[in-house]
Order: sequence, then C-alpha cells, then structure tokens
Amino acid sequence: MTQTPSFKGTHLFDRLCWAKERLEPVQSDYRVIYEDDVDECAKILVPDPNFCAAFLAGGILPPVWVYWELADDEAKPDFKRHTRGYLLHETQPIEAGTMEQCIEYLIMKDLPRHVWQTWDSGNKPKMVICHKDQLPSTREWRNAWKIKDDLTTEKIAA
Amino acid sequence: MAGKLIADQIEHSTAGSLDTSYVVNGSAKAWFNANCNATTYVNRDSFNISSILEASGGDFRESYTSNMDNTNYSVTTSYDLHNIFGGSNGGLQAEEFLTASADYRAWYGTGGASRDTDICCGQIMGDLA
Repeated sequence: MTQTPSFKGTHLFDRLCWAKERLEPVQSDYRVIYEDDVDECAKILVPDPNFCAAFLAGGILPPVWVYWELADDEAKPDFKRHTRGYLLHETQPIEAGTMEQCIEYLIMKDLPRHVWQTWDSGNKPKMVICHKDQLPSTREWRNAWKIKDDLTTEKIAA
Repeated sequence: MAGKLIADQIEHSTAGSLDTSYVVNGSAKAWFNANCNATTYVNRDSFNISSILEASGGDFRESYTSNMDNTNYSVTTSYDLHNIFGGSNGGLQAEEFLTASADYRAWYGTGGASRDTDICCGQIMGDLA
C-alpha cells in the first residue's frame, strides 16, 4: 500500500498531482440522491474515482470545514477572489477513512447545506444514500425520477 | 515533498529559456472525461474533481477538490453525441461558474434540448485559490 508523505503546508494541487501519479482510482458503488426543489427531478451525486482514492489513502485532503469557509466567502456580495485559499493548503490534512466516510464528506462538501442539514425534516426524506443497483436500470423517464413518497427513515435504517 | 525543484526559469540547450510561471499559469487546473449516458453519470477519469452531480438528463455539475481563485476562469469542452443521434447540431455548454464547481449542459437539436451524451470532456484553465 502506498504511504502518503507528510503533506501539511504542501499546496493541495501538488498533493493531487502526487495522488494522480501513485493511487489507483476507485469507482464507488454509492450514489447520493436528493431533491431540493419540488418542481425538479431528483439529483444524483456520484463520487469521483480519483477523489475516492485520495480520501481512502489519507493525508491528502483538507477537512471539510475548509470548503465551508471558502463557500461562505464566495457568498458575500463583494466577493472578487479568494483571500483565504491558504486554508486548503496549510490546514492539517485528514486521516485515511472508509468509503462510507468518503460519501459523508462529499455530501457535506458538494451538496447544498440546506439539503443535508435538514434531510429528514418534512413529509419525506429529501436525501438518500443507496447503491447504484438500487436505481432504475435504464434512464427512461430520467427527468421524472423522484424519491419515493412512502420512504421512511425506519426503512432507511433497516 | 521529495524531489522538489524551485526555479524561476527552465533553459533548453539550444531553444532558449522559459519562465516557470508559463508552466504554472498555462497548465490545466482540472479536467474530466465523463460518461453522461450511463445509468447514472460517472467520471471515467479526471484531475482535481471531487464529484459529478447529475441534475437531470444532459445537465450536470463538476466540483473541484482544489478551488479556483475566482470565477473568471476558462473552460474548454468537447463531447460526442454522434454515437447516439448522428449529425453535429449539438454542444456541451459550460454555464454557471463558481470557484468550487461549474455547471454543464449537453444539448442537441434545433430546440437545444438537454440530452444524455456518451462522452463529455472539459479542461479548466485559470488561477487556483
């Protein structure tokens, strides 16, 4: 197994170059389905294979709160460019994790915050993690895909 | 990091010298090759991408692992609709640019309707945060 060097203080881009050269990409079978607009079909997040490899190896990616800080900066009306990019490069990288932890990280990084913070409020769950073989096998009527109305958190937990 | 070189210039024995800033500024900061006609969209390979988010048929988002510095960056796309529809009246359009992601729309036909597409590729040039 490839050992990640100590990367604290190394530019994140350089860490990703290192990972691209040395780590085998990992295609995840997990999919994250969510709805954030009743008039739109369900959206599907699919992890990137190189990102999964970096997460599983550990020592490469910054903690997810770094991305929240940058997103907050960008949301300000007078935003022109990032002035706190150093957070990506100088914050201690996270340790190796499992594929399940990788999915949690990606949910908190790449999904709208209001979706994952309130996924279980309302009449039905607005976000579901599943395996790809639990989705329809063809893309017919893709733009009408919705999370089932009768899906409950009890069923999800089971 | 082992093997690190710090240099402002690279010199060739006969062809002259080049500032390394050309290399830093002129390299793609992210790229992807996605299958947007699979059961769910999936990146075949990529660099500096954390996920692909399928919004609907033909519409998707690629998120970056290392954010861009600002939203004034450049995206070049390529695509292949021919295997599915034939003809050439289509495109892969880069839309909303954020420092953390960009949205794309593969379309085909006179009305420009979004379509699933076998091969969607993008290269992102610009400054990193």
